[in-house]
Amino acid sequence: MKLNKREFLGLAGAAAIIPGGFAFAQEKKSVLRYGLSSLPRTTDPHFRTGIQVRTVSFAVYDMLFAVNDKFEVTPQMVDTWTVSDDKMTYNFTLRDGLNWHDDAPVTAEDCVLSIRRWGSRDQVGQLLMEATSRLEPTSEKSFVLELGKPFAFVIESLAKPGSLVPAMMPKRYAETPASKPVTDLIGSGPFKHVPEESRDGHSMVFVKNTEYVPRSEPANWASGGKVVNFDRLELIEIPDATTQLNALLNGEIDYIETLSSDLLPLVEARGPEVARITNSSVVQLVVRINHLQPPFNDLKVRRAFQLAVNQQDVVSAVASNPAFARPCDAVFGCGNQYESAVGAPIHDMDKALALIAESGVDLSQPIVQLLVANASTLTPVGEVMADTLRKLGFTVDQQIVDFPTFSSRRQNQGPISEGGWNIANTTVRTVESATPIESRAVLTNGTDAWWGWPEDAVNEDLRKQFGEEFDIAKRKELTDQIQARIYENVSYMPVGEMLSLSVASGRLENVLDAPTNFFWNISIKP
Amino acid sequence: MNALLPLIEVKNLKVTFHGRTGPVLAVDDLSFQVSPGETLAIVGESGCGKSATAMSLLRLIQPPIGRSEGGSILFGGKDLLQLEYEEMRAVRGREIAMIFQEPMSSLNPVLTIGRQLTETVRVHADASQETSRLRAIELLHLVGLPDPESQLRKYPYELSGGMRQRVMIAMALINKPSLLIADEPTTALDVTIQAQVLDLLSKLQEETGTSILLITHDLGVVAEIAKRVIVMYAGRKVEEATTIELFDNPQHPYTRGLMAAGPRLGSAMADVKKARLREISGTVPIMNGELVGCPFAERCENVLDQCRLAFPQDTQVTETHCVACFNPNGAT
Amino acid sequence: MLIRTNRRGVEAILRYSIQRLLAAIPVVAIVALIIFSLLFLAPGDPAALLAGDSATPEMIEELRVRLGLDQSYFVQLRIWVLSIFRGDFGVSIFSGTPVLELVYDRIEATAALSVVTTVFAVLFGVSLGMIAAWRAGGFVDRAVLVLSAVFFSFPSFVIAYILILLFAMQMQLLPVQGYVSFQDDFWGFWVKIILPCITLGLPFLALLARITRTTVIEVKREDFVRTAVAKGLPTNQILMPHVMKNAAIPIVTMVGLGVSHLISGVVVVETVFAIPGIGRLVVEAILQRDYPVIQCVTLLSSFVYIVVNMVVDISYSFFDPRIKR
Ligand SMILES: Nc1ncnc2c1ncn2[C@@H]1O[C@H](COP(=O)(O)OP(=O)(O)O)[C@@H](O)[C@H]1O
Ligand SMILES: [Mg+2]
Repeated sequence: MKLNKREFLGLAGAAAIIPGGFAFAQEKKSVLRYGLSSLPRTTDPHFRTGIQVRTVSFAVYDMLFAVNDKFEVTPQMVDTWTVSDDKMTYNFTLRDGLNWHDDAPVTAEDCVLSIRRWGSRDQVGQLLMEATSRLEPTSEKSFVLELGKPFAFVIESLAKPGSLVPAMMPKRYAETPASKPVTDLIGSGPFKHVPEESRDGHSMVFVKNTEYVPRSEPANWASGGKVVNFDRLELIEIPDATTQLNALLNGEIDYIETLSSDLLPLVEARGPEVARITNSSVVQLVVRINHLQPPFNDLKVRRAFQLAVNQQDVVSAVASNPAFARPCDAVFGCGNQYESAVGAPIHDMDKALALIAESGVDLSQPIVQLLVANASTLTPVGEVMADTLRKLGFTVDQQIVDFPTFSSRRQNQGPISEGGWNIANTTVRTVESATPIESRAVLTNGTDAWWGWPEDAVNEDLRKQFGEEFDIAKRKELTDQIQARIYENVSYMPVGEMLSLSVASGRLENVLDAPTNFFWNISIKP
Repeated sequence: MNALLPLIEVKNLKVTFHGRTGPVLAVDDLSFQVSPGETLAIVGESGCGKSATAMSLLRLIQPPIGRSEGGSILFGGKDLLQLEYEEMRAVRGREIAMIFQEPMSSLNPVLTIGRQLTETVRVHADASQETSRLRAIELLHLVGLPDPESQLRKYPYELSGGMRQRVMIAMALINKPSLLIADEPTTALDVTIQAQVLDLLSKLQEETGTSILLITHDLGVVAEIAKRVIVMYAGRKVEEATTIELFDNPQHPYTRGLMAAGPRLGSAMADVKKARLREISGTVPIMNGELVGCPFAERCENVLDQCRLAFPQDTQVTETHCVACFNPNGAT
Repeated sequence: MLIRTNRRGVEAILRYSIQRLLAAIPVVAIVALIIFSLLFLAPGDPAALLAGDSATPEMIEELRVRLGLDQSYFVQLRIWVLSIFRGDFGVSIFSGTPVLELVYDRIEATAALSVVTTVFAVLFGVSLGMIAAWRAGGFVDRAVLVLSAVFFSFPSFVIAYILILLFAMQMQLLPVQGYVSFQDDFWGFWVKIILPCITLGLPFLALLARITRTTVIEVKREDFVRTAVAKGLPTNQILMPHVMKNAAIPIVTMVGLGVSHLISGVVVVETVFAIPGIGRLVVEAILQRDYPVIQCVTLLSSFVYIVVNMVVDISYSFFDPRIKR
């Protein structure tokens, strides 16, 4: 009896559609149970990226500013703030009623230290710190930030919705170096962590922070009033995607972080009163080519490859259901504020082949591809890339690796003979790459850039200009130029987008449609 | 015939084994009886159905191995072949006990002698652990084992073959059965031990008054303790007589063959095998249903044509002696 | 008299166990060394993983230094060995929690799962095997043969999904997933552990039923069983202890093998039923190259393996007095 997992899921799914009776879970009053494939092992938001870290850190920590679904910055912990006319001096005053979970009041010093800690590690934070000449408390509740050189994104940085998140921590944690993760979870946000009731590998338990004073504005993403309408939040680790959905349909959990694409029909079959998609976050599918080594050190070859890639092939390889994947030409994410199609390549195989011939590249040298084995997204995208290269006349040496091996091998800048590589692929959440200064993927400062190490001084200059630009319209112009430049130099290759969908049971109402799962604003139907 | 009411009366017993190649008729139309306190011997070559007879008295031959059919085994007014399972179980080890041919493997190797003896008491009587233990010690003493108390804690592997057979005898007699079936109790033992065990059996019979059905291939053993003898060949009774009559006046050519071959009591197994029926050539046929007539015909020196057509009727020689042969005296 | 014999027996077993454990020390040490070396040689760098996708090479290097991963093989080995002698198994690279604490947190679920599964499998496997053998060719016998073939060839996640579908989704009798310690919620513990144990236990049960059946059929033919019948023993007493004590050794051997192999089955079951056990801990640790966790769990499982074998060996002499230690 040989049945592979996918085929079986089909069978199981067909039978699972039969509606169930009563929910099994014990009906303790107002508990929200959130299922996710893996609890974050490290929860320090200044240290580790990733959706799970963000989920926890937004629940526990608060931020000085926050963005809404239009990426407009609004104050969150900050009450009032002023900017000098030369846009070089910022004064912030914290709002009243802010307390840490251990009951100490939030002070300006805590915040200053937290900004410094985050700023030592986060890419935007580093830009901010480089520009900052003075950052210190001026009173219990207020602090000043003076720039030594122009930087237009002070407030945006402090409102950053993607990792690393500028979360505010009490002084004793904010003082520790950011390279050493904080293991305690003490913030000033709407949920308090209960470590005694949490169990490694099983659950993380939070209770509503009854001391928390929400802002009066309506909640929109992390901005506005974070009003919590239930008593207890449990994050439950369920590694198996089918079990997650079964548990949701059976009433054992209420909310799932990420729905596996092959299970969507089961959700749809049950109808919205049982379960529905509430929010999604966008994942960019990214191909990285090594600019330091032949053949991709040759612009003609890079361009040929870029023209040969057909996003439609990629999209259909990662998901059979169009709800989960779509082509996208925007370097800074479709649906984001800097979405644009400027400079995007138009798939053209004849042109690509002509460029290859023109470049005179040695086709006998195999292309080394780092291919992550058995990964639901990375593997199919990698296979499409290998096919594309073969169509151009290359031979591809696919080196199948597991993720840990991949993570360390991709750092190798050396030639193939020394364990180097030519092509690899990964994913990037667009909430973390929405601007030219946040996205690490669009750096083009050579060996200091992201792996792949593209070098392009023009782009670096445009990015610098962007960092100093206050005018919204001019910023948009600049991102268009950056995108055009990126496609011209083939510095960065987005090859499509995938949606990561969250599912909530019909009992949950008012779930915020945000790229991170926020637990405020949600109400639970009894 | 004995004037007393028989203890057990076997009538027209038929035992079939379900062999690999088809049914094997191990016992055919066998009738005999044993009187209270009497010792009856069944003799015959190996494979002639002696053990099958013995075991079917306790209904130890059950499907799928084989079955006892037809006829009846009357014991204490009941037909053993008709008893319910639980009724039969009450007879086993209580009314009728059995000693097997193989003392080496007939005791459970992983249980103590004590446990195996006491459970035999307790399964049939509401006896305490202590009562049954005392009874076990008594019996081990009776069968002549030294230091019975310490024997109880021993495992079979710690005992010699002769000692094990004594334990088997003790176990068989522990519930004072009215019939003891001894299936070649000495065959597997050393010559010197053989005599001791036989002596023990006859001594015990005198003391307990138990009837014994002694099964052997050795006429010497018969002479030693049996009062009456049945000679079997290929599942059939061919001659029945008192021991004296049989030795004085053997009728069946097969019996005479046995006697000529018969080693004296005390010869070793190996000798028995070598000396077996040197007067008669051939072996016991397997009765798979194809054979008609007298099964001994092939090997018989007095064979007549009619021998191959039908099995001969019993002929009374004296009141206590009968033979199933068309031509016992060798007429041609 | 009896008591003294027993005490002597217990002393002998104790002495033997201690000898066996001491003899196992070099084995465990070699296992530890091999694991350490394999991990050292394995490609992949926990620092790069921990630092995350967007980390700069400097951040990664900083972590390598902080975690001591920049040291040479011998330096790392020495540090590791020395700390183990102090009873310190290190700190998880990813969560920063001491490894012993992590293992301690996770061991209960796996131990509960393994013990309940083993009891379930032994109870039902051996009984079914016994019934099948006693009525060889009968209905139970044929059912056991067919079912054991089925359970043995089904991957356990398929069994798991079928059970979930039937008992959780359709009948709504049991929960889909989860674990709760029996100290916290005794009833909840049983409700949640049933399906995982059946999933994990069915192949084990099938194996035991077959080996029991074969062994009992063999033992049934022995002369001493005929003796037991002739003595008038009822069937249950013939089976227990006459037949079963003789059949015990192959069965116990198989139980021991089964228990030592549970660890591999445990991973799937812990994953499907979301049980926070050792199996998932170690798989995760391997995927993240969390060296201290992998090393500790490996040592622990080789120790469990040795103890299981030892218990099996000791039980031989309990079942068969002819086996001397
Ligand atoms: N289990 C069995 N299956 C098939 N045939 C058997 C079995 N046991 C005995 N027989 C056959 O039954 C006949 C009588 O055997 P048995 O009673 O053991 O002889 P004896 O005890 O006189 O040596 C022989 O032909 C033997 O081959
Ligand atoms: Mg015999």
